[in-house]
Order: sequence, then C-alpha cells, then structure tokens
Amino acid sequence: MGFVADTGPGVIRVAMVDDHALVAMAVRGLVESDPSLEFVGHAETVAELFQRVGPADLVILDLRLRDGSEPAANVERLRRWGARVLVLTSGEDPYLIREVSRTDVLGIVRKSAPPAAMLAAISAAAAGDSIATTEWAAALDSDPSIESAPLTDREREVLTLYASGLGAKQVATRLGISENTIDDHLRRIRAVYHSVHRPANTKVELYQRGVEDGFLPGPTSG
Amino acid sequence: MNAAGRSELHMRRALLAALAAFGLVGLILTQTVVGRLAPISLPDWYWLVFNLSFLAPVVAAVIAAFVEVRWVRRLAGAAFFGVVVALALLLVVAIVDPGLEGQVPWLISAAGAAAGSAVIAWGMRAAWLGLGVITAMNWSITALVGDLTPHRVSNDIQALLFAVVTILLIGALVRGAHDIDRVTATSVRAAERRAAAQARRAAAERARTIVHDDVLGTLLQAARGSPELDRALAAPAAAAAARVRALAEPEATGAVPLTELRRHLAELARREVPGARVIERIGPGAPTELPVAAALAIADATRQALVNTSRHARGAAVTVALLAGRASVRVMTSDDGPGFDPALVGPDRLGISASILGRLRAVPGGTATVESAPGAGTVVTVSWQGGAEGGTAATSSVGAALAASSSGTAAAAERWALPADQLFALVLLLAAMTALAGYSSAIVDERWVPATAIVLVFAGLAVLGWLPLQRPSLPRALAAVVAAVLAASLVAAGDIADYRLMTGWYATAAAFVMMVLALRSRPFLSFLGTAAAIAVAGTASAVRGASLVDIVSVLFRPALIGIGVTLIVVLLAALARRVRRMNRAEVEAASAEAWREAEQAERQERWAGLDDLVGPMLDRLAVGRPLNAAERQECAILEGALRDRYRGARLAREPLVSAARRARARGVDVVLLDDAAAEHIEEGELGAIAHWMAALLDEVGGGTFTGRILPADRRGRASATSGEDATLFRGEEAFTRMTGGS
Repeated sequence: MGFVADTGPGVIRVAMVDDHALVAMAVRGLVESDPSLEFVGHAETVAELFQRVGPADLVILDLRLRDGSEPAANVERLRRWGARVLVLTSGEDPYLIREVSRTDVLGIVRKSAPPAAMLAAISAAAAGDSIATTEWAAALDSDPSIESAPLTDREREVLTLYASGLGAKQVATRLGISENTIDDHLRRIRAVYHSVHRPANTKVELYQRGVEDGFLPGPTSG
Repeated sequence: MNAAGRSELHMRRALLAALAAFGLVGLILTQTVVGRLAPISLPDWYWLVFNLSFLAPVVAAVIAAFVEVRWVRRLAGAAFFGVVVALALLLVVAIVDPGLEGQVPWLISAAGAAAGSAVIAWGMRAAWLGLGVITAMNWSITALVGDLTPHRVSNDIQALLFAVVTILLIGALVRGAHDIDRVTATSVRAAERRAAAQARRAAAERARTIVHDDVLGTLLQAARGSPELDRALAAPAAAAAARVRALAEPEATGAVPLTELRRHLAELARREVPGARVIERIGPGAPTELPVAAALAIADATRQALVNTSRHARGAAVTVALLAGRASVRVMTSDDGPGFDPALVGPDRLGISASILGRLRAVPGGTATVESAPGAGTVVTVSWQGGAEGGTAATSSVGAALAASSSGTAAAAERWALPADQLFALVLLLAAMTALAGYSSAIVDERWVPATAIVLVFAGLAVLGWLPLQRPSLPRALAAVVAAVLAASLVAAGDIADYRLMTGWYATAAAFVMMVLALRSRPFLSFLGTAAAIAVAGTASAVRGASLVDIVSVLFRPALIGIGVTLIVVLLAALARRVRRMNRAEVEAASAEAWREAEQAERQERWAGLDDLVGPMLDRLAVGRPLNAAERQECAILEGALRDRYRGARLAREPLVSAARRARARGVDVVLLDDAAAEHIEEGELGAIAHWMAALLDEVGGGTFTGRILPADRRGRASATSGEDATLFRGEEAFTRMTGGS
C-alpha cells in the first residue's frame, strides 16, 4: 500500500475516476454505507485525481474516459501511484475489458450490477482481494488468443462456467472442488492471461516467463 | 460502363481490327507483287469475291467498335465464313474447270487471319477445327490446279505455322482479358464487402461511444437516482438526446475524414497488438479527408502488418505512426522483432505482397514498402498522396498482363487449358519447321543450309525457354536475336536458283523467334531484331543476285509477323493499361458506394432505432421533473435493452427482447452476451436460441440471469444461467443442464 492511513485505523480510502459526476455520487453512497471504507473524492481524469484529490488506497476507475486515455495506461499510472484499482464498465466492450485484464487490476465490475454486488466487489477490492465477474470471464473466455494459452482443461472449464454467469460457490459445487481451489485456478488464469501478450523477445526470456508463471520447473538447487 | 466483360470486349474488338489490318496488307501485297508472278486465270466475279473476303474483316472491325461483345463475336464469325466461302468457290471452280492451272491466290495464306477470327467468334477449339477445314480445302485446291511445287508446299506449311501461332496468341489474349474481367469483378465485390464492413464498424463504434458516454450513464443514474439527482440529470439527458439525434443526420460525403482514420487505426492497433504504441503527427496542410479506397487500403494494409507482427514477432515492441502532411498520409508500422530477409521470402508469403503492397499500389496515389532484415525488425510503410494521377505505371508487356490476370483466383480453375493448347501448338510448330527443313534438305544441294537454319531457330527458341510469358534476361534475348538474324540471313546462302523455291522459311521461322520475344515483354528488341534480320537477309539476297520481286515475296511474311506482332503487343499493352485504369476507378467507385450504403444502413438499423428506443425517455429526463417509480424502472429496462444491443448483439431479437424487458421489470439483473461475434450462425438457429432463452428467462423470478452465445468449438452453442441453474443449448430440442437441478 502506498500511503499511510491518516483516518481511523483499518479505514480504507476510496477514490473514484469517472467523467460522470452522477455515477460518482451513486458510488459514493455505496462506499459510505460500509463503515470500513471512506470516500475521499472524485475526479474526471487520472491526472486530476493526482492533483486535486490526493492519496487513496483504492481507486474505482471508469474503463472508458472521455479524455481518450488508454484504460491500461490509466491502471498502470494508478498502480505506480500506489493505489489498488477496481474497474467499472458499462459492459458493452469486451475488447477494452481484455485490455485492462492484462494489467494489475483487482477486478472489472459492471456499473449496472445490483448495488449489493457492486458493494461486495468494492469491499473485496478494498481488502486486496481479486474479483472474478461474469463480464471479466466472458471477455477472456472469448478472446481468440487464450486458445493457445497454456491453461489446463480444468482451468478452461472454470473460466467458461464463470463466463456463463455462475459464481464461485456454484462453480465449486458443479466441479466438486473447494472454493479455495477455484481461487487457485482463477489466480493462474489471470497470470496466464497476463503472459499471453507480455513481451518475450528471446527464448531465454520466454523460459524466464515460464518459470515466473509456474508453467515450467525452475532450475533445481544442488 | 460496368466492369463486367469490359476487358474482353475491348480485346475482341482490338484483335478483330488487327486481323483486318493483316488482311488488308495481304491484299495489297497480293495485288502489287505476289499475285503478279504467275497468276491463275480466274473469272472476274471470283476476283470480286476474293477482294471482298479481304475487305469483309475491315468492315466487321469498324462495326465492332460500336457494338456489344455478342455482335463482335458474330462479326468475327462472318469474317471467318468470308474466307471459307471464297475458298469453297475456288474449290468448285477448280473442280468444274480441270484445265485450270497456275498459282492460287494469296487467299491461302489468309488461313491465319481466318483462324484468328474463329477464335474471336467461338474460341480455340472451333478455331482448330476451322483451321483443319481451311487447310484441307487449301491443299485440295493446290492439288487440283497442279500447284504442288516446292515453293507452294513451303508456302503452305508456313501459312499453317502462322495460323497455329495466331490461334494460340489470340486465344491466350482473349482468355487473359476474360480473366482480367473476372478478377476485376472479384475485386469489386471484395472492395464492396470491405468498405461495407468497415463503414458499419465505424458507424457502430461512433454510436457505441455516444451510447457509452451519454445514454447508458444517464439512464442508469435515472434508474438508481433520487428526486435531487433527477434535476441534475436534466442537462446530461438533453445533451444525450441531441447527440443521438445528430447521429441520424445523413453524412454528405463519400470520403473518410482523417479523424475517422486516426480513430480507426488506434482501434486496430489496440485490438491486433495490445500494447502497441500509437504516435500521431499532423502537420500543416494535412488533408481533412481521404478517398474511401485510400482509407480502406491504408487501414487494411496496417491491419495486415499488425497481424504479421503479432504472428511472426510475438512480444516485440510495436509502433504505429500516423504522419499526415501536405495532402498526404503515411502510416508506418514497425516492430523490433526478429525481422526477415525480404530476398528470401517469396512474394506469395507473409501476406505482404497481395495484402499490403498490392492494395496500396492499386489506389491512385498509394505506395507501400516493406523493409526488414534478420535481427533488425520490420517496418511497413503505407502512404497516400492526394492529387495523384491514376495509379502506377502498368507493365509494357501483354504477357505480364496475362500472367498477372491468370494468377487471379477466379482464373485458377481454367488455367490448365492453356498449357495443353500451347504444348499442342509448340509440337505443331516444331514438327512443321522440321518438315520444312527435311524437305529443303531433300531438294537442295547445300544441305548444311537448312540443317544450320533449323539448329539456329531451335537454339533461339531454346534460349528463350518455354516458361510461358516470362520475360527473358537481356543476354538471353540478345542471343535469341543473333540466332534469328543468322537463320534469316541463310535465305541467301544456298544456290540462288533455288531462291524462291522454299528458302523463305528460314526468315519466317526466324520471325517466329522474334514474335516469341515480343510476347515475352521484349517488343523493342523484337522490332530491332526483325528489322535487322530483314535488312541482312534482303541485302545478302540482293548481293547474291535475287530479283526484287523474289526478295519481297520471300521476306514479306517474316516482316509482317515480326513487326506486326510487335506492334500488336505494344498496342494491346496500352489497351490493357487503359482497361486496368478503368477497372481501378470502378473498384474505387464501388467501394465509395458500398461505404455510403452500409453507413446509411447501419444508421437506419441502429442509430434511428436508438432514437426510437431512448429518445422519449431522454426527453422526459431533460425536463428535470422527479421521476416516479414506473419511470425509474423504465430507465433500468432501457439501459439493459441498450446494453443487450451491443454486448448481446445477435441475442437482441424477439422473443428474447420482450422476455428481458419483462424480467427486468420483475427486478431480474439480465446480462446477454454474444461471444461468437466472428462466427456465422444461421438465422434459424439464432431464432431457436432466442426462443429457448426467452422461455427460461420467463421462469426466473429474481437475481441474475446470464444468457450467452458461446465461442466457437464449445460443447454447446449457448448457455443460460440463473441462480444455481446453468443450461446448455446444443441445438433445437437438445439442451443439457450443466449444473444443479438435474
């Protein structure tokens, strides 16, 4: 975490970047309904957030801003700034969701999701947990480039079930495995998806990537 | 005029005119020189028929310039029958009058022109048949009038040779023109499809931006809002309504705005190579818009470059730079990947040749280059310069035009017919020349002369090779010219008393070598070579004491073949260039038209519908009066319906649209996803999916419902999930429960 909390202990500061002031007002209402969260401000662009709003532990970022900025670049700037990022989407563009899924975001949530689901996602993100949503899973599951990704059959099955609209509990029941195992699968799916478009110019780099991502065994010591 | 059949029509007309010109030259030569040698005494009416048979093609060619291809073919057929009738009458006269003796007219040499007319009229098979008939009549007449002299036999074999080559040449040219038309028609259709698809994408993307920026957000907030928020929504709602209506305004221009191209390229880079850097430099004098064809070509070429990069230089740093300056636009796609050696990559590989270079070069003002080296990355540059005159210089070779046209996919199936004809003609030519050489050897004292001549002629042809229509290197071409000139000069090498008997075939055979050279993109060398051969052979003959009449009668045919064919080749190349320019203009016009139509269609289908769908509610929100519960629910329903249109794509159809509306009214959070957008699904199956999904959705009382068309190659076609229940659609009446409730 990039900033020392200057509010009460355990209270997490949440900021919002969205060019619709009304969306920000609605999100503010949700955030303030959770006593462990504090809404610290809203900005229309990432730059404005840095200048005007100040430190935040979690930034809720609109996927598509009117300033023409790239979603992935926005996430990277916010991560460098030290904030965790949860992305909101109107839900109509799987390309942008894929793009931002390759960055270090905790999750991608549909703006029109029921308020309870939205709040659950914000709270989970505030705690540093990743969130797997139908929109996220469907965008990855339908990405042609994932076909060549080194996913196991079980991992592909998990992704498809998520994309169908099932939640962790239903997926676990359906596959007869624990929710913890589902989380492990989701973590690896994220890692693999990051690697699908990561630069790997040489075979050595490719091997290093493989080791980093756990696809290949590392050099044994001794 | 439509592109369909344009090349073929022009080609048939031009060839008919060329044959008429040959006939006319033949007639003049007959009347002035050859016919005066020892003419057969024929009735006056026959000479009238004879002259008419030569003039008929001229009349036909003049009329052909004004009529459609069907009538051009009929006129060519009439020209063929003119020769057949003249020969038939001569045959009758020869049969009726046994005492008739002497040299038969030059009509017999006109077999070539007649056979050529037959090709234009009915095609090559009919022409071979026609040539057979003419040859049979010709030899019968020769036998009947007692003209079976060595000179006559030699002359007839040469005439046969000329006819064979004529059939082959004209057949290939007509076929090539036909192929150009087919390729053009294919290009027009492809260009229309490309333009339409791109126009739709551009229109949809613009609509999507507006929908996202204004409409979805406004509706969602209205659905979730409070009376205080409702007042704040008035201004955004009014702005959204205005933008939605502005979308429905028709666009006046068929050109593509530069801003649209910039947006499209950025989108392309984002989709094809995520992480690619996009740089834009818009300098002074940059065009505000581009012709549709240029914009399409740039966009398609850039896409191909990006696809190649992601395929061959995975993980490389990729930059797309758009540089616009004085009336020009340049897009450079570069990567620091492994690169390749362009010299080692065939023109058909990597998608470079056809997709990038070809597309751009086909556009007026368009250029494209691909630079790469192993280990040094790849730079693909595509550019367009405004105000450029129609395209790049076409090749001067008819052969290259034919080769290019026959490489078109449409022609692939029929290409096999050509080599068989060529092989047949080659065998016939070589056999005829060998026969002439053998015949000469049998009747002259200096046997080395015909032996040397045939060796030289065969050597000349061998040096050029038999790879159809390929341009020979300069040394090879020069070697062929030297061989041909030497062979022609042998006409004066033997006993001058034999001069007129048959020795002329050396010069004619040499002229065939020149003709092959002209057809292989060396018309200038062919022309010079023919002139040199005639000059050397003529001078040598004169020095040896041959008479002028003899010299002309021996050398007129090689001169006609060498120089005439060269001229035809040059004229036809110019014609091919003109037709290609016209076809390019056709492709461009078709693209522009398709763009306009598709954009209008997209606007009507999507944008106009958008206003119908959300316009009234946005107007209501713009008033700023607090919403009641029913209106708030309606906003939620509209927001969902709009989202379905974009993310649900093909699922946004009845009865699912109505079922989703009812479900949202019940408070169900409905998500529809079309995740097989690139895959074609039959309308019937889509309808079945919509019915199936609607029935399931109607049973859902609350919570979330997700309906999804699955990506290709999954176990089912679609899935429907609510609560703990997930069901898979595998086809009508066949779906499986994925989980729970079973």
